[in-house]
Amino acid sequence: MNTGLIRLLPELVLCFGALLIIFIDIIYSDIKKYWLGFLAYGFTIISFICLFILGSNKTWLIVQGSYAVDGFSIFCKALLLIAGSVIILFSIAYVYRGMEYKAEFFALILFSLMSMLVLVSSADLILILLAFEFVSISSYILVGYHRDDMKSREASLKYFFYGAISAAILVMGFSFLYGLTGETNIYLIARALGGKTQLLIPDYTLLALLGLVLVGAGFGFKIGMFPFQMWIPDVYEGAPTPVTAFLSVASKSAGVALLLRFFFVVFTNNFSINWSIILLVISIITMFTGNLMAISQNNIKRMLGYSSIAHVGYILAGIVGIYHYKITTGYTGATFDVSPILIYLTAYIYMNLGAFAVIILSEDMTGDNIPSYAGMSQRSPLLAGMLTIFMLSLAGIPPTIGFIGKFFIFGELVNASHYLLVILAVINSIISVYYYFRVVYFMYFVPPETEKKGFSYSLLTMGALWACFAGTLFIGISPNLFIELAKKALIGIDIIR
Amino acid sequence: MENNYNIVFLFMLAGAAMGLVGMGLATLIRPHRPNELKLDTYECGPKTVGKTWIQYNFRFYTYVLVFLLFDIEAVYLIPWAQAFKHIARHGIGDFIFPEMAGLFIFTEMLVFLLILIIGLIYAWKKGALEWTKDHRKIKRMTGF
Repeated sequence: MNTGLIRLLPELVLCFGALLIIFIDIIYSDIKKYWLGFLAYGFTIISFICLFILGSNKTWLIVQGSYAVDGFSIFCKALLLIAGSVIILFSIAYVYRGMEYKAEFFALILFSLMSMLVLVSSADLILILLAFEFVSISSYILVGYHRDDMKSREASLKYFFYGAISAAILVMGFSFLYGLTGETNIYLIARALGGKTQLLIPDYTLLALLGLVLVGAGFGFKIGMFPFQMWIPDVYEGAPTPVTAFLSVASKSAGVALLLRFFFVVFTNNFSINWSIILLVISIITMFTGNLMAISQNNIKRMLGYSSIAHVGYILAGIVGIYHYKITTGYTGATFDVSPILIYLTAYIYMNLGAFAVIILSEDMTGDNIPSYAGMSQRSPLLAGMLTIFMLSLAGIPPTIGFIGKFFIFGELVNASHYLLVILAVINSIISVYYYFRVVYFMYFVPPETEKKGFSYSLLTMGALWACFAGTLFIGISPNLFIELAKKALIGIDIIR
Repeated sequence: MENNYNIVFLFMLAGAAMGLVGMGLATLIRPHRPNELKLDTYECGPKTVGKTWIQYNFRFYTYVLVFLLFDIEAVYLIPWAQAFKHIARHGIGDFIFPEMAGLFIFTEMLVFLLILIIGLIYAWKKGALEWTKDHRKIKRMTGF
């Protein structure tokens, strides 16, 4: 009846799917629960189809202007749904091998995915907070899913404490913005801060800066920005591996998308403070922290955790580049082109998911430690070869998608003539080659301790793995098609309403 | 700028005064004849047994969680009812059929309640409402 509500269909499909799974679990307590995984997978696909049918370049502001459905949010939602469906494919075999509460796992993944979809298109402080907390709460449960494992429990509790405090900081920041402008809609806040309407307090610069910093801190927790990155390695190590993949890929992408929309809408439209300096410093420290800490890690999940911190550093550098380019060229248009960051996110999702798929497949045979990957090239040439490609991609070496992502980010920085940042980012990429290739070194040049083969090539996980592999190599070799697609979708954030 | 928080302050002041004035007046005019029974801790009439600083059984927490479900439900129902009264009469702007707005909002609330009820059935079915003495079951329920 309400014309815009049909745009919510992808989210509603996911919500309905999660409820249906719980309902089936209640009614038929004796069925083989891993079949519900296929149901969950089906619902992500239906949601994806709905997204495509409803997709358009037009910007829709629905639910009294608090929910923005535009090219940017549709692109992010497509990425999230791809990540979510691939992770469900991983976890079916993983859950089947022995996990309590099988049905709830898939329901929680669907709920979490739904809240991420809401997060990337919410344009109202209240809705942002609600979706943010929804993502967090379902993640806390998923992280602590191995209840008999002390590490998993510890990870869950740590994540919970960090998350609770960061949500408090976020609300504090929101309260400053609301107190200054008297609005909860981010477009109206932007108008007010840009001097279009009368503010409640005339001299607002310092308070707005305080709001910006606090909100940035709240978002920074979700994406693992520098001073708030402490939880990442412990949580990534303790969580069940599919959940680690989910956190590092989906949760982080949703956080980045939210940060992009919020900062580019609220703090760019005639906003007087140049906040890119803060973000510049943070991005440099984040890159160095991630890369330097990753060098000494022996656990591969911890290593990927630190590497994900480094990737956030590159993404933040890209944001600085885009913002700075706007300032230097005096750009005052209505749409922000954020495609470099979205291309980077796509690359990050493909290669990281692939690496995690290999880890899940070989976990039983090798364990999590990098030295125990010794001789993988003889024990399982296929997995070793694929992991090598994903590590190449994560390090950003040419024939892979990781290179394309880095190329666009660095290109944006050169456009904005941020040469120092480019040099530092390149130095960081070189550092990262060491620890990514340490895995490759163990796989190919260290003889195995056992000759045991018997890797469980679970069909579903292998399918997901091949999909990631194909994406990583295909987009890496001929990126034109993908980039045309990205440009055609007009990936921009409208900053003026 | 008009400071609306003055009203809140006045409200707090009035609230405090209401209690304090009543008790103060009572202190002034009531007879003062204490005995042992009157000074004893009040616990619904009978004499108190044991100390008040006891540990509650941690199994209560599943009940509290289920209770919370319906506590929150009530919190959301009240503002919804207020908004419903207004919207059912006047409709809202972006509806195609303004006269159907009430029905639409009513259905929305039904969906919300349905989700909560699925939650309750889930908790019930998984045995969260049973007071079990089976320790293995307790471990499964609570993880301890």
